[in-house]
Amino acid sequence: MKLLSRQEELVLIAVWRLQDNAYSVTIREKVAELTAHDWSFGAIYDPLERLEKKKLLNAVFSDPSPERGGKRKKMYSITSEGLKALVGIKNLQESVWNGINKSMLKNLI
Amino acid sequence: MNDRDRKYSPPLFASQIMRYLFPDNGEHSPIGDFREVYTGLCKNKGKISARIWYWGQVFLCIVHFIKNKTYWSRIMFGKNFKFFIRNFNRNRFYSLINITGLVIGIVSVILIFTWIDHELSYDNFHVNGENIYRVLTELEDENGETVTTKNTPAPLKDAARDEIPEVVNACRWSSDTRVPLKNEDIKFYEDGISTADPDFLLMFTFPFISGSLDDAFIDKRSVVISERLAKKYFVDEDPIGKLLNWNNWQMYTIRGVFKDVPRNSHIDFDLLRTFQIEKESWPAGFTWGNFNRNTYVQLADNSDLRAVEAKLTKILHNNNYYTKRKNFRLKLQPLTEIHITTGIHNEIAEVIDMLYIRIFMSIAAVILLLACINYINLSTARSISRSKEIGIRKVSGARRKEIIKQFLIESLFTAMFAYIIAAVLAVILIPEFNLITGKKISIDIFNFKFLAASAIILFTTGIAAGFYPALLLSSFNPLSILKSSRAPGSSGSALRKILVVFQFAVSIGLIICTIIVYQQLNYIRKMNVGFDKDKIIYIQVKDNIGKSFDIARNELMKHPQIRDVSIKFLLPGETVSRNPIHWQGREPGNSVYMNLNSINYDYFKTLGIDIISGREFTREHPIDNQIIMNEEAAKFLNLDDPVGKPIWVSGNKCTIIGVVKNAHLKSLHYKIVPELFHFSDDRTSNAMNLSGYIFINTDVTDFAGSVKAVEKVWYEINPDYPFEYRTLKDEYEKMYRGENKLAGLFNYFTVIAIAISCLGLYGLTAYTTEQRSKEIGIRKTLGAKTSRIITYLMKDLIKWIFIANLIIWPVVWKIMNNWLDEFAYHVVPGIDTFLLTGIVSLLIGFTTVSYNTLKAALKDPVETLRYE
Repeated sequence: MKLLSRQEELVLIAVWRLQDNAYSVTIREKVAELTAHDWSFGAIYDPLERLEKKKLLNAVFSDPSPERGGKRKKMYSITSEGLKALVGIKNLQESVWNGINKSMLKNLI
Repeated sequence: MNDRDRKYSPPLFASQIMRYLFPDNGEHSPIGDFREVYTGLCKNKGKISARIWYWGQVFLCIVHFIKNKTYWSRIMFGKNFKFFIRNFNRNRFYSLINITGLVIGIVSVILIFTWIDHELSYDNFHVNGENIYRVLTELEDENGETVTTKNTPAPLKDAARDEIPEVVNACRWSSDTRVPLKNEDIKFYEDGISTADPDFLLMFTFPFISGSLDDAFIDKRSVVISERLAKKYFVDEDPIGKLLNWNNWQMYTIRGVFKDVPRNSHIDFDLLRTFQIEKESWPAGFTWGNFNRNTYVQLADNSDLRAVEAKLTKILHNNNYYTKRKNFRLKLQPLTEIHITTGIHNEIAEVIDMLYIRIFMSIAAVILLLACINYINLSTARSISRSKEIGIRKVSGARRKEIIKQFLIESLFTAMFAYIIAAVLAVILIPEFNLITGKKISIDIFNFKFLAASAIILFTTGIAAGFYPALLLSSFNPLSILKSSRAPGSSGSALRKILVVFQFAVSIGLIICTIIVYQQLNYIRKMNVGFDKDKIIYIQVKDNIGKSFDIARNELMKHPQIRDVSIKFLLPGETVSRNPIHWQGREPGNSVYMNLNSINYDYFKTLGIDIISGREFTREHPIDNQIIMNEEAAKFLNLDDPVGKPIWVSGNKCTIIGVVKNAHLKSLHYKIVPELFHFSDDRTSNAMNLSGYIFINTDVTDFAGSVKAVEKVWYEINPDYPFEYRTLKDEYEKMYRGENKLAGLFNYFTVIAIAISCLGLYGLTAYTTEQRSKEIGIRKTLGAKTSRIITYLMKDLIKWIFIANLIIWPVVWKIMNNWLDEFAYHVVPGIDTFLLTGIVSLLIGFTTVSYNTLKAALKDPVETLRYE
């Protein structure tokens, strides 16, 4: 399995969480909310593009809306491979962290 | 779009920038995202912070966009540079021809443009320059022709300032004759003595180094001097308050030192004094009747020039009835136009004819064009060897735009490379160039103007040279290139032929122009001017030598090298007065005016002007009311035997005692006009003492000895004055300085044009004969003789050169006749000049191509046909 970058992972999770309402603006907000950081659009576009290329995300164009100045939205949804990848990451994460005693991190948390 | 939407639309300008940065390609566009967030911000945080955010995004996008662009263009640039170097190395011979041509062309352009820039920069350094005008007098002479002079009456300055509200300030300035200055042992003749009103220093910008403007002219013996004079006469001392001896006569106190007058000033001076002394000794020179001053006025901003001119003229008419009757008009001439206006009588400094500036600008442009043509010809001719490269490039996905870019970058690199060499060469060559133009121009490479001009020249050259080849080479269809071995560009050489014809036409034209200019100059040099111009030296009358002229003359005549000596107030050819004359047999009607020259004993004998009949003024005969005239005057009077007949000059009855031959004392631009001569014995007067001349006819075989003899006599009589002499020959040469410069420049640029054209032709034939080597080989195996092949290869060239000659002849004929018409006496360009140039151009063409043609024709066909 190809490993995802942190950004890709965050964006993928955001899309998954947003379910039917996942497009650039909401994804950016979601990622910002999850990480408590401000994210620029540029930092969202690239992972989105890569995820789409890796077939982890699906994209459809919605109809143009006036509040976007007549531009179309690109709506994203997670594919089954995407979900698998997320599960894989979670498992990997846990297996890597497994065996580390919480008391070892006490001073840091 | 409804109102609600408009309320939340981002700033128009910002969204336009965004639209430029993210062109709509039918896919997802970030503009929509920005727009949506903007709308959200508007609703939550207010319009102002939304706008700030939007602009912030625009800024970031721009930064990113530029980064991206430069990154990729840097990469492409690096690649293109690599291709350029590879191509350069692969075709060193052709690249060198290209570069050499461009270098020569660009050097010429740099030199000519620096010179023109200097000529056009005259008087542009004055702070008030835009509002300063010189007053000119316009009047009709006796023949009804309009004459414009810079001379105005002295009181005009005060009247103009006091009576015309638009005139903010006014001053006079005049240049004085050459006199010696002295500080103890340091004594020299100085040219830059001048007189001005104190306001002169306020109007014009000649900054002081020391001393103050306020007491610069505190009394009539106060003067200010240039830095140069200060160094010369006072070396390291502070000159302020020191005394300087003027003309061995008066002591002046130095009140100030100003920075040396820039070279591009029509007013040139080293010492400035006030008019007071002159006014006391010669009040008549300061009346409304005497037109002898240069007046400058400074007007208020946006003044109506016509109105001021009318007011000035009115003042003149009110104060001098004669000027009203004769309809004198005062005109204003902008300060910066003085140097580039010709035709003004008694002009202060040398001016430049705009015609010459235009001629040389065109020559520079044409020479650069010739070099560009070489580039175009060689690049398109070589298209065959590069067509494969282009084909592969296109197949690999290069768009036409990119190929054009590649070739333009290549030509720009070539131009830049050439430019760097040319700039260095120009700096090296500028002293040589100064010798021709008679200027002291230097090139400052790091000057902003120079750099800007360089950039323009570089880009125009690069693009002019590379544009057509780039278009042509990029238009090739990759399929046909890669399938066949023929390049489309190699066959369509019609343009190349036209360009070669053009190059030859220009070169031939320049050759003919040069020949005609030289013929005219030679004509001037060889012309029998009617006096001994080579034998006469003259010295300025100073101090005792006027009063003791007879003693001096006797002393001088004792020397065997000296033939004769005479004295005259002005140089020969200079006239001040025109007088009405009357004679028996004159047809009634308009009055006739003639120049009246004041001369002394033995004038004609000294100058070597032959006397046709009668005699000249000699000591043995009475001299009162006697007139000598030149041939032209005698012809005009139409008397059978003029000697002994009466003539009325300004109403005085005089007798004609002699007729002398015509002499070209003025330049050949002017026709010989009737001249009268009367005797004037004013050699002891003050005026003579300041600007009279003694003429000495010497033995040319022992010129140095004659000068020695004159010097000895001079010091016996004038021990305090440095001795100095000049020759009429120099004076004569000076009259044709402009023409000599023209000839020198023509000479160089013709050679350059020929060199560039031949270089191009050489490269072109080298290439085409190489391309045709197989064809020649086949012709030879089929039995063609070498001579046949040579004629076959040369046939085209003869045709081209023939056409070039036919095209350029009428053009040159027209231009050169216009130029020659400026001379009253000139050569008539003969058809032989044109034919000769035609033959020469053929010879040049043949010589240029002969090496390659012979090489191709003599080559063993086995060698060219062996490999297939």
